[in-house]
Amino acid sequence: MATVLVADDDDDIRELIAYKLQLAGHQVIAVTDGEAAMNTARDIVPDIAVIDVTMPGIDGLAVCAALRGDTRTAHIPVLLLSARAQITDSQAGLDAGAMDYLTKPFSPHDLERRVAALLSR
Amino acid sequence: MILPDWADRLWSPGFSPTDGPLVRDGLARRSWPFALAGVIAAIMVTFPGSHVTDPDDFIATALATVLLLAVTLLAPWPRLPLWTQSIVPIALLGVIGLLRESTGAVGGFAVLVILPVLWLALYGTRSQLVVSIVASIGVFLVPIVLVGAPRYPASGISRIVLWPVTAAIVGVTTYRLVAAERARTSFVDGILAAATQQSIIATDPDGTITVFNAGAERMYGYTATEMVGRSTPLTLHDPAEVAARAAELDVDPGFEVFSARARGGEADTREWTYITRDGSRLKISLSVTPIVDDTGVLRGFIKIGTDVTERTAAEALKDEFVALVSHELRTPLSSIIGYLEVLLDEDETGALSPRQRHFLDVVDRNARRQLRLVSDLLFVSQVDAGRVHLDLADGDLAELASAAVEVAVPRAKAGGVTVTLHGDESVPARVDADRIGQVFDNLLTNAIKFTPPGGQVDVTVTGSDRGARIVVADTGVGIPVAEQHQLFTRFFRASTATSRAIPGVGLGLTIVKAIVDAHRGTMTVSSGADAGTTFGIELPQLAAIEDTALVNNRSTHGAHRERG
Repeated sequence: MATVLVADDDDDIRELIAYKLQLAGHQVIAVTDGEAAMNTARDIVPDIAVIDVTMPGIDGLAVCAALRGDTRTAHIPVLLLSARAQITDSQAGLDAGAMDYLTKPFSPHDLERRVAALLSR
Repeated sequence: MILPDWADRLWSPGFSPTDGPLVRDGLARRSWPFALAGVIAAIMVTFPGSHVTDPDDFIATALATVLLLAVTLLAPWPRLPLWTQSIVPIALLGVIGLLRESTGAVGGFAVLVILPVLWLALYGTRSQLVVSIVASIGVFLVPIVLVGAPRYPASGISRIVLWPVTAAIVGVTTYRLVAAERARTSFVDGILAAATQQSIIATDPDGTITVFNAGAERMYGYTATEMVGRSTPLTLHDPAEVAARAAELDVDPGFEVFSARARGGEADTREWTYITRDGSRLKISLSVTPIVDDTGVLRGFIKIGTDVTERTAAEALKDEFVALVSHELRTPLSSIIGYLEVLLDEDETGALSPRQRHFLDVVDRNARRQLRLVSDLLFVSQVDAGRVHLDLADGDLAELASAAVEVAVPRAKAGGVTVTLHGDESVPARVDADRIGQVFDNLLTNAIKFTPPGGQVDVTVTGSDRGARIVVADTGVGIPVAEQHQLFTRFFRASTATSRAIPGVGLGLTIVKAIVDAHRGTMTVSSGADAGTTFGIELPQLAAIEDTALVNNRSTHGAHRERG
């Protein structure tokens, strides 16, 4: 059981991720944009963050970089969700400090496995 | 080049035959070598052995010479009609005639008649040349007529004929050479001037501009007069960009930035930001190539630029559009596919009837099919933009083939087609596994689709030192030879497909070809109507392509990311 921060502006996807992770026994805090993601991460310091790349305002890459730059949140593993199946996106994500990435559409089952893998590191 | 610089400068301004007939400026400059000959002649007269036979005429000669020099130097030639300049060499003939006469025509000054003729052959028009040749006859003939042949010392008729004839031969030959050179130059100039949509800038080896064509004038707002001989192409560039490129090439941020690559003989083509006279910025695709003469000596560089500002903007817009559309199309699909998976996963209690499960499977299959179509369209647009990204890793082609075959078998069975995998057990290769998987999928899907029940599809993967070979052969309906050249054109569908109402959009082979190309591979097809189809793919050892713009290698991520 871990605390998972989920940030995605798409309501349906956010609900799907939250549902799947809650079912796996995690506590999920879901937010809808980059700014809320950064604030929440600093406030509650989750065990892991699942962040969508394409969000209005501050995008997932910027959130990821900001978390890396802050000593309180630098240790949090980040799983990026990219809507575009372009290597450049995932490359940029890995450069920004994400530890793994999934391309949308993703398999919820696969997401759950990857979260578990990142948590067990 | 053999002469020292100062001598070279001294010599060359006098002889620029490509100036054209009697250009407005520089008459004195063009005349000085001829004046020099006159001065030497004057000195010769004072030598012992030459003697002045007619002092009055000699004084007249001296006065005429001084007068002619003064006129040449002081007359406002640029404001006078062009033809008046030809008065100078014609008048010079008169002076030569006087000089001969005053020295008894034995001083050997006859040779001087060649000079005015040569002068007009170099700088004059055809008719002026003819006038000078006729006048050169006059130099010999007039004194004889005035003084009288019997009393004239050097009355040898041969001289009257030989010198003008020699002058005429020298003059006409020179004129023809110069005219040919002038025609060639004006032809080249015409080409440069006609290229108004490209900037053509030539420089000497150090970067000083030697040619600045009409296109460059139009595009950048500077005139050839202010640039040629006075400026380098650096004037036009964004200094920050030049500095960045200099750092990349490890050279000084000067002209070397453009010439370093070209100096080695290779063409250097890249996009640069140009700043025009009015300060606006243009994206210019610039090719720099060296100019090398017949003896292999580097004479300079030629820089040809094309304005791609609008194209770049349009491409950016298109990229943005494709990204937006693909995002908007995929987002709903992500929800559909994700929720379906959860729904089907959780049905452990069997709450769904088999029929309901089947319906949900149909929804899932169709959602995935649409997703594949969106991905294919996105991929094709990336191919168009020349940005196929490969994610290279060590893999096994035989394994990829076997996985693809496994997926294809149920579909093949349903269509009564047998799929068999042949070849090596293991074919290690450095490839983009997802993309090569797509190659197998697309080829197998096609083969099964186009093979009637009872037919056969054979997949063969073999490896060698040079690379790998993939063959997908079917016993299907085939492709008419006349249509084969269009096979890899997007949205093209063979008549054998449309006439049998076999579904598809015509992207599969386009994508296969693009992926094979990106891997530096080659592709062959052999087929005929009702003769089955065989696709062959040769993939080279891929170590060689790692350093290319097409490839985005995960192990070196960051360094090459935004290239291409």
